[in-house]
Amino acid sequence: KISEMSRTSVKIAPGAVVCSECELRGDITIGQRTVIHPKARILAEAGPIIIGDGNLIEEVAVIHNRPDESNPNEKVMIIGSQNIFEVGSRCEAVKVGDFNVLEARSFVSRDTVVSNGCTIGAMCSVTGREVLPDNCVVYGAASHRKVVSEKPPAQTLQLDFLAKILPNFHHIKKAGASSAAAAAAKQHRPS
Amino acid sequence: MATYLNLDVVHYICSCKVSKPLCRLYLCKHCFELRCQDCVLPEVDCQYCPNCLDYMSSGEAKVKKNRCSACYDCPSCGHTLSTRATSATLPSPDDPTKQVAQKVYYLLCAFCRWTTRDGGIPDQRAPSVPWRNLAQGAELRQDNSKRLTTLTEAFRQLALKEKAEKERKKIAVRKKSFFSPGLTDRYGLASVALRKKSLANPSHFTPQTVDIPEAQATEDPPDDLDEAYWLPPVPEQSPLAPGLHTRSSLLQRLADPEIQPERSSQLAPISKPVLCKRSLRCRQCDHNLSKPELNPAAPKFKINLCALYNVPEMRLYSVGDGEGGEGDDCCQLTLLLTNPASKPTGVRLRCLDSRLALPDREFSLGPCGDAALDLDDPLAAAGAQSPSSEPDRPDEVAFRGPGRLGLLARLRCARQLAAREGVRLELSYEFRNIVLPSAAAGESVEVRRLTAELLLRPPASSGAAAKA
Repeated sequence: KISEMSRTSVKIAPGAVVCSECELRGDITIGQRTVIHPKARILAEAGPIIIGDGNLIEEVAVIHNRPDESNPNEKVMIIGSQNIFEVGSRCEAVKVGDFNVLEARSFVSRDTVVSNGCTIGAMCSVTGREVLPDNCVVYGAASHRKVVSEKPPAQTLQLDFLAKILPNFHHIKKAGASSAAAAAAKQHRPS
Repeated sequence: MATYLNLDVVHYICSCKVSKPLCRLYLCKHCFELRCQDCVLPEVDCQYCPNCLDYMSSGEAKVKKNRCSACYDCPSCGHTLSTRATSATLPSPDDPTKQVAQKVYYLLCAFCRWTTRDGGIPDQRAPSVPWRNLAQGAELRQDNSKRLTTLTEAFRQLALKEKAEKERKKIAVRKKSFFSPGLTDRYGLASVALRKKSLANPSHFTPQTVDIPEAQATEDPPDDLDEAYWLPPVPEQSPLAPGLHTRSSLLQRLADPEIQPERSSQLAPISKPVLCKRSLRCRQCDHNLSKPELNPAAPKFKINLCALYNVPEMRLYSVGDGEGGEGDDCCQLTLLLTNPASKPTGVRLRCLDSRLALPDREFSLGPCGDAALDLDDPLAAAGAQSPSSEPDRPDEVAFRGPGRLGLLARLRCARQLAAREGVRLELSYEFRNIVLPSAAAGESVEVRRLTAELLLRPPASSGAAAKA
């Protein structure tokens, strides 16, 4: 675990609002205007995670690049832009497109490829080796599926509001590249 | 704590000899008997929409076909549709040449994300619009009213004819010989006979045969089915076979029998069915036992004679160990009696089949929690002492609280037997009947002694003992 901690390197683009209380482990890149709430967990265990622009990652959401026994090589997890990961959602999918919504407590497994505009309903779990069609909606206790005609609307208003309000109540991580080794070095330097 | 209430342990016996938990019973204060759901007559007060809580009388509901005019259900999943607004640039209604940003409305299901746009309905300028009539599927609706009127007319004629035949048969039973003109002419009865004959054969009033017009097909059936009807073959990998999502599911089709949409593009918002507000009436004495307010937003009652509010409730508080330690027989039970009224009442428990040893005297219960707080004496308010002059004996009374009393009882039979067949008890209590003001006197309170029969079924094993 100590070796993992020393490998933690987070690149935060300018304009992104990342609360200090979230758990970031491993090699993570966060795009512009992305908002990460406190208590979110982004765990880049098996490889780096690249998160795009304008994403909203709420509390207790987990984005986990889980090591896979069948495929031990490093795999980069790429998440597109304008996605919403609601409270308690768990995403282990290696590739996520744009404009998706993972509602509260939903789960997407490593084998699934989430395309664009999908809505994974609350408490639904999508496992299975497949590519979800664009604008797909998964809903209901039995995880019914259907395809709608349009993607979920972008939450630009919400992102702007959070970018203004969150810094008033939480410590925000500074933009730029940072890693645990660099932070340790900073401490030793006489200020 | 799923076993907190454990409704099956103590049952009260209704007047129809059925045992039910107290929360399911009503007390008729005119018959002074317990009534269960089967002893009461439900009546519909009014109908209301569960979404907008708009209520209507039964006559109005009949006209509206028992549906709400403003609320709709999602045809895809059944949840309520909500109205959303977006702004779109459209030609303004005043000046068609100018493009103005306007608010347009559409319906959206928050659960499955079905929108009216999926049903082929364009966005509307006003939020409340008859959405159902605008749907693509609406044209599938068959108008059967013409056929129904022709059928009703033909059957009405048929009914008239059958009635006339019945009359004729009645008259024709008597012997015709007395009324033949030859015999009756002497006494001037010919005219009478003629009139009777004409009545017996009213062929010029009603048609002899009634034609029921046959139904005519509206259009010729196609020779071979539409190409679009057949689904393309399913490829191996895709979980969402192309074309499968363009078909409605069976449940979706049956949810809308008027349109019966085959394609998902024909799904139309379903008008929300209304629910009933009902009042209950005692079958014996015809008095109301439960009459809610007409407004569904107000959960109060005009008349509420639930047994829970009028009859002291008995619960099994705890089961102690048996006389030989863990032995199940002859264990000590603690019964909790609660007074629901705001005045003190006297209760007395008696065992009817001698399976339980109970203290055989009258106990008084203080008023229930809310009323007890008003009393000046804090100790009496807490109910820690017995309200009557007699002090409580520790081998009879386990504890007291505001309006509550814990009685100690000893089981005299096998635990298994008590759990299987139950112990029959009789609870007698004071019921304060508020008699409505008569012409002479004002409002008076009549105190009556009522009895209720109980069935106590303590759980068989000590592990399953329920704690109140």
